[in-house]
Amino acid sequence: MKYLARRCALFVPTLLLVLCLVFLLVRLIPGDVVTLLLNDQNVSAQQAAEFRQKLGLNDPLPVQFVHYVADVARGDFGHSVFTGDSVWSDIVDRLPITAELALLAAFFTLLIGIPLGVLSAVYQDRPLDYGLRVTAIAGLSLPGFWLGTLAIAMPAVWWHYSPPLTYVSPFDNLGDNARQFLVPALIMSLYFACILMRMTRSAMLEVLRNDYVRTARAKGLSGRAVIQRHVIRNGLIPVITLFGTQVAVLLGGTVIFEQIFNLQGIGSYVFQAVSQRDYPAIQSVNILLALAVLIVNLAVDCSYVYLDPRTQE
Amino acid sequence: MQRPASHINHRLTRRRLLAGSAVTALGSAALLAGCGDDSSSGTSTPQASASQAAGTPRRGGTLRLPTIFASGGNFDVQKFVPAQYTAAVWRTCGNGLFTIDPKTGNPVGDLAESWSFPDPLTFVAKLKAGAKWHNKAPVNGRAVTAADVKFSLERIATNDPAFVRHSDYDLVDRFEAPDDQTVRIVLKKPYVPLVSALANQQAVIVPPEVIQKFGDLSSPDAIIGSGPFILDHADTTQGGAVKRNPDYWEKGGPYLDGIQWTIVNDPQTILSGFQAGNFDMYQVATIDLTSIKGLSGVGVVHYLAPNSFLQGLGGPIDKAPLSDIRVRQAINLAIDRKALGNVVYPGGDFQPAAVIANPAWGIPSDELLKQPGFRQPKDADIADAKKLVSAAGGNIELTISTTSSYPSFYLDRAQAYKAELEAVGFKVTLDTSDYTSFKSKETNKRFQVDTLSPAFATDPDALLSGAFGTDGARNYFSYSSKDFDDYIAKERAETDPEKRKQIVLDAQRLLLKDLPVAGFANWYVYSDMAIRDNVKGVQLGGIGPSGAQAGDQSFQAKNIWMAS
Repeated sequence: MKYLARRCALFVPTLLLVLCLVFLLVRLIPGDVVTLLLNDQNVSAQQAAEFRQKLGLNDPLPVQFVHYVADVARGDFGHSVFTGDSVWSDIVDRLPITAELALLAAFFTLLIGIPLGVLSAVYQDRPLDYGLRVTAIAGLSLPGFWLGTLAIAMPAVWWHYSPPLTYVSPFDNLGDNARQFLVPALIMSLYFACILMRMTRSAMLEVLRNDYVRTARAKGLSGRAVIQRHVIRNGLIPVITLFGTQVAVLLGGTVIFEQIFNLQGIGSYVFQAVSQRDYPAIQSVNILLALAVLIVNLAVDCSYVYLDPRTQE
Repeated sequence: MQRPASHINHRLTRRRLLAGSAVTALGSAALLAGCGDDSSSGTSTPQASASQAAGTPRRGGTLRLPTIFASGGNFDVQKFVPAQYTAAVWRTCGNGLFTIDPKTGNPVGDLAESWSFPDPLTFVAKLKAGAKWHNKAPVNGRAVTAADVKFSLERIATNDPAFVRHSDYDLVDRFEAPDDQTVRIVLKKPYVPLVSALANQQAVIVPPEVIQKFGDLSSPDAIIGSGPFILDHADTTQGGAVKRNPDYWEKGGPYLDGIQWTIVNDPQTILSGFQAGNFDMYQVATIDLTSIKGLSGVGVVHYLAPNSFLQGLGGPIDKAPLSDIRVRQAINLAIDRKALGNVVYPGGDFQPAAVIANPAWGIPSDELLKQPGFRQPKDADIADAKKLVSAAGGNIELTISTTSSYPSFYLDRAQAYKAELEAVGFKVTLDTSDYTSFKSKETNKRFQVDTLSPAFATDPDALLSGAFGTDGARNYFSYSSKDFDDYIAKERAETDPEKRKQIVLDAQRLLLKDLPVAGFANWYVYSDMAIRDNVKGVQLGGIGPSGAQAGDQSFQAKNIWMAS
């Protein structure tokens, strides 16, 4: 419990650092939201400057930063400079889409990566192992955005089929929701599943060479029992660590897949916000993504307790 | 440039690779136009409109449209630059004082029954009898009055940068509503383009009660107008839908039960959605024409799509090396407009234009093709360009600013410019940045030359005064010419369309002589619209003063119908 509290306390400086970096980096890019808002309009430079003043964009950066942090501390994520809408309500509207996509992709990553990695290790240097390793390399080599584009384009050409183009909640229509999410989640998971499969294979092979595995076999335990009781559990520790770090990359990957599959989630929101220099939206989404990554990593650390009871000490 | 209509309205038997979809989409968000009423439009050129097969309109059906939500804020259509979809929803649910006739591209009365300039400084419009608001709270179907129009126009003209169309009314002294049916606009100076400004997508008339209730128009709940459709639902992430207004006050439509827009992030997804039967019509990108070809029950209408962009290669002429007219002349001579057109519209159906790319106002191609820099073959021009570079001192370094994002032809074009300028002796480097940075440099004149593509309202006054007037808000070129300013003052005061056109043409000829943009490079371009066979009544290709705006289907939603 003490450990958990200490880890949670570390969230605050981490989030502050993330906020500071995002705040500064986004402002280093030339151009601002006013340029876009007044794009190609008959507005003089003086009027544009007045507008910047009105939005507080002319304030010194430290002043803007302090204002923003104070607002966030109060739970106020501000309003989109571009739309005027509450950033928090924008995020709440889009979060279910991204969460579903990311969770499904994570689920498929684990579902595909770990069993195939185990199989590959168990059947080391046999045709199944070779086949799985070649498949994994191929999976790593094929860009997800290309597969995603094909998955949209080819069914439309061959069968005049496309998934629903507006979000359907699983509570409204589970079938349509599945048609919308399963394919992008599967494609998105492919890359990560291949990495995980290779990592699982290596970790398993390492464990298989340990003395205690040989001892277990010598005691007469069946091969299945040795794998299930002694190998998988020990082999999974580095795999789960890797999975934890991949979650951040996976969340970032939603940007591309939401664009291709027309899912109006957090990814497409932040993509648009960056293009439009919508500072409050960019900052808020990044804080939440950072928080999500921290929580996942905390969960990964906690899972060690189950996988390796020695860590309790 | 003009073609007989039979060459324009045709189906997939012709595989023309055209671009222009992006141009038209953006152009429809640009705006304005004009001069006078429908009968006195500023065009003397033949019309190039294309329409779906005739028939007896019937009621029923929902038109399904994709829309790219690339930009745009909330639903307050009178503020900022609205997304294509936001403006379309408003233009189907609401009316302006004027609208655009898609067949001709001319402004025509929407709420206005008749209008006139009784004197150069006064505009008077009489409202159509019977016009009424939607039967929803807080207006509950009451009559539309001149006071409503006055209120709306005063809001649009608010001197605040958020109301981006306010500069359209800079020359307005005041709006008046002397009685319920009469709107009077008193001007500070003669301003004939006012009618086009009033036909703008954003010039939607709204009831004051809605602003009082909601504070502004940002919420979809505030979409209450007097138009042929009533909002069903709308948001800025998924799309929206409108349904027929059962109490619509004007005869002849609407026929559709409703219109549905789906926001789509990616052009490929739009194509796939169309192939899968999820949409009824969409602007086909050149590259996708072959994919549409095999679809049964789908036609492609090929039509002239005027654009309202200023295109070319230019920069501030008060700084070296562009301050030397010989350098600008050399650039003008070196640019191969035909080759550049092939870069922007590969395999396309286009003709060179210079400043304004709407046949209603632009210099005709046959005249242009005799001008230095526009002639083919290029040998003589290139030889002259080399001499000019040498005479200007040689070893002239140019930095071309461009953007790698949105759309890709910015960068493609910059690379073509680079090769052409290096061929005559310039030393060229490319400065590539993302779109917002690129626009920032342009707006603040922090560039030497750039691949210009700013959009303007469709009336020629917007481009000429905005980009080249001494006080033009987007005069990135530091151009100042008394003769040119005089032309602007004259065309603004000229009510005779043909005389006004001549003034506009003379102004463009002066620009080609002074070269504030070193290399004007624009094109008259044809575009393509894929339409399912059961969708009828669609008109495309009006090339009148507001031609570029006429491409937006929201202006004609009332007349579109679906065969069974």
